[in-house]
Amino acid sequence: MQKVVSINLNGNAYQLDENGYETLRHYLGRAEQQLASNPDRAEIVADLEQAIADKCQRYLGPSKTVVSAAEIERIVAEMGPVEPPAAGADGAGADGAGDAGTAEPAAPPKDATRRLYRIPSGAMIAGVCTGLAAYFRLDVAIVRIAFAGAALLTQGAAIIVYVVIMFVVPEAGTPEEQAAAGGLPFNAREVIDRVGKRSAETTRALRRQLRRQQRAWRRHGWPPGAPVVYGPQALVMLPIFGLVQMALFLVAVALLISLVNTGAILTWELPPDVPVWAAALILLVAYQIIVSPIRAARQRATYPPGAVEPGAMAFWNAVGWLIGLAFAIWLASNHLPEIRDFLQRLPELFRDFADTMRDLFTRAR
Amino acid sequence: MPPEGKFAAIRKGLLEYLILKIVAANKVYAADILKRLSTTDFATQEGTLYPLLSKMRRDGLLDYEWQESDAGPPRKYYELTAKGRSQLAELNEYWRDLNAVIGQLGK
Repeated sequence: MQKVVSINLNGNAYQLDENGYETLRHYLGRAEQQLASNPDRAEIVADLEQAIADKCQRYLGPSKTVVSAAEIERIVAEMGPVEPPAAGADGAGADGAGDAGTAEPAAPPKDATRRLYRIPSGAMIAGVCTGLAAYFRLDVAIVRIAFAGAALLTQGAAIIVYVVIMFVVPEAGTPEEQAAAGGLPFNAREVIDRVGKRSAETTRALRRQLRRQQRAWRRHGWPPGAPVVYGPQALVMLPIFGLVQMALFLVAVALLISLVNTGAILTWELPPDVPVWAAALILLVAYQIIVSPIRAARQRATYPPGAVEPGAMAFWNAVGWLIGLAFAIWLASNHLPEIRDFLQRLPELFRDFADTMRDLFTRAR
Repeated sequence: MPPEGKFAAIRKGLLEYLILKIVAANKVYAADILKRLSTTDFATQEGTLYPLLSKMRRDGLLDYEWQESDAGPPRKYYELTAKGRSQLAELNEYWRDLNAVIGQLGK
């Protein structure tokens, strides 16, 4: 659900959802900035507002009174960036390259603003690895092996990363998107909208699957692996270890976010020759080392020696955890600017890492 | 094919000339100009056109008048001023000369 904002575009009232409003405000703010020294600024902005209002009208009807964020994005893209006309004959050449984007929206993307897509063709699961490979200009096999290795090392945490990427990153649907697999700059707001939509779809799919599973269980009895008998000490121990582990997890996340956003862990600045990704990696490994005895103790407290967590329960535990995590990220990126920052910086961080790895590989050869 | 940037520079330099031509042929409003350009290599967006129109009006090349439209609010219809017409004539002539020069070079 989104709040609706009423706006006045050159004398016409329109209702936008909150994200659309932000996009539009940003666009018009930039327009005013570009025209700061233009004596006709007010008039041009009024004309722009009128043009936007006309375009909004296209999307509205008797049963649709709110212009959505996606529609606003489309309108703003149609309008194109506002730029003052070249001052003289020489001005035309000076920023000719910058104009390529305006005159021709399909101009080839610059390398620096490649965009992360999932690429379904050649994908094994959801195209995350193929997309990452295209984005980092690496071989898919290397990315897959790295992912599998990371999954083993982190006891599955990398799988969570995979699922998060699956949710957050759009699929390269059209041929243009696939060819670009990195056209426009990474846009946090779009990502957030997409997660909202996708999570609804996934919830539906999971519910279907759960119902199917339940029918199967009713027919064939419960899955093998009898329900676990919790030891008497479990009731006492579980919350303590659980709380400690949760607290450590939160601390690690806070440190990681501070590291990625500011390049410093709380107030401690990194030495200049240590890249941020390396510090992040060290932080993650340290967290794993600190947390592993607690995890082991928790395991022992929960299950009697020798007992194995039943497969189905472990699976649904993991699914619940993933959904919770995806939801928490979506919520946080909607409300906390730090998290939005963090998510936007992540691709850059991974690219740094990939670049360093590639350098290492090429030098080794 | 030369780099995209060079074409973009040429297009940008010629845009004002094309607008003069379009406005000279018909009394138009901004959306008409965009529509007329959209099928050409000179496809332009509002963000570029509006500031340019306002500059051309300040330079005294064109002027507009408000006209009621049957759908929606009144629109600004642009037409050339005397100065705009004489500049268009100059540009036409320059363009012909330029074409002749380009055609003769390298022969």
